[in-house]
Amino acid sequence: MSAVLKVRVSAGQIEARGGAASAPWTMQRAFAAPVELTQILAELVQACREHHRVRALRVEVGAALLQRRTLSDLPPVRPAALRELVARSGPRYFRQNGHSLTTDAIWLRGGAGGRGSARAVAMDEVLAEAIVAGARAAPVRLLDIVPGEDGCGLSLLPATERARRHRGTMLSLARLGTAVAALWVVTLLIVLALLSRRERAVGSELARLAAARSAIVEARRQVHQAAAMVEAIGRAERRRTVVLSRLADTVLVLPKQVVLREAMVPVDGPLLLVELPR
Amino acid sequence: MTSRDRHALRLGALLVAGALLSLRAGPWLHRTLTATRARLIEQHHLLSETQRLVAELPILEDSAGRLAGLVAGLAPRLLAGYESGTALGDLAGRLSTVAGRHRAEVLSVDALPDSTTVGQLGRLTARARLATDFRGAVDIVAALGRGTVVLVPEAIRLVAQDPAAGPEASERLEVELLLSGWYLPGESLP
Repeated sequence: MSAVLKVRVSAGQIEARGGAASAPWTMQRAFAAPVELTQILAELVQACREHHRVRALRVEVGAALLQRRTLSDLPPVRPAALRELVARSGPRYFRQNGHSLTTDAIWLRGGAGGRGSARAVAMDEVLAEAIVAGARAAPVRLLDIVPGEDGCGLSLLPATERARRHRGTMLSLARLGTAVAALWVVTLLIVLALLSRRERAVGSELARLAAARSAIVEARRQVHQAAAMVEAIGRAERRRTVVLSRLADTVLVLPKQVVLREAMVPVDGPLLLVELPR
Repeated sequence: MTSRDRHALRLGALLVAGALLSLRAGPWLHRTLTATRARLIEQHHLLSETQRLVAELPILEDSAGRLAGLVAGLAPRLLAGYESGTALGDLAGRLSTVAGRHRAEVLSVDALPDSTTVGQLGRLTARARLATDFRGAVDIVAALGRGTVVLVPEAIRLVAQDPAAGPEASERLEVELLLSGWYLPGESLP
């Protein structure tokens, strides 16, 4: 079930269609001047609300209230710039009759790349403002004001409403950005707080174990020193044994009848004996 | 103040807040977080190392107990004295005693420079000159080797005092012994 009330505004008449496809709700009213449109639109919304839920409003403007043009020889600009170009050159393309116009334009197929043609449409801004005011008075969200029939992609919202919506979008984006930034900051602060808390816990645990750690490190150092000392003395004893064994071997090989003049018995080097016969 | 002014003010405030956030608060927060994380990792390593040490305490106690017995057994094998001079005196005394028993005469005992240390032990290296015959020299070295104090003859040099003496003359040698031993500088064993 659609909750969008579709309103068609044509010359002097306004027709509203709402409700589901199976049980449609329709109402027609006549209006003489744009200023009546605000009140009538609000009443139509209220009337529909008595039977159906209405959450949004979409207004279609009949051909009799529009000026349609197909513009050619336009400079190749982006769609937004095209819309701005047509709006600024309104008197050039549309009859004004002393009224401000709400305009819109879109490129026709193949128009944006080179000098192509665009479809442009305009309506009295007073009428568009009256529709916006009616939606505001209802109150209901106005989805768009579109030209009827082939008005696909065109919007006739008045400039003030467009600006208001643009500001709203920007504000929403800014709020979203701020919220995201705030979320990041809060998250980082929470992480920082958790890290600091963990750091304090580890620090206090380290402080508790500091004395034990120092004692153990000192004990380890002393144990290593003691082991090195025992090993050094053991090595010296083994060396002494080797030296004595070498000396014993030297004595055994010496001839009985010699007079030593000089002998050198280095532990690691070659044995040097200078001997004289007795 | 128009709505346009308010909008401009809001935009300006937003820009200032954004700039402060991205140029000051953001980098500060990043630096602080990085530093805190690095400190935490370092402390974690230290803590796990400490916990490992504490867990190894029984093994350390066992090793210390066994080593204590071994270290206590070292005392008789060291030269007496808490400095190199007194250790040299102890070495000279032991050498004189041994020399007296083997018909030798101690001519001199001099300490040589030696800065070797192992743990708390210091090594003493000395050159001793004795006058004796070949048999006496061998006996002295053998007696030093049998002693409880670990004295290592690093080199032995024998020189005949009178190379021109005839066969009927008694053998007289000058024995130069390069000896090393260990002593404990300081007060006591660990």
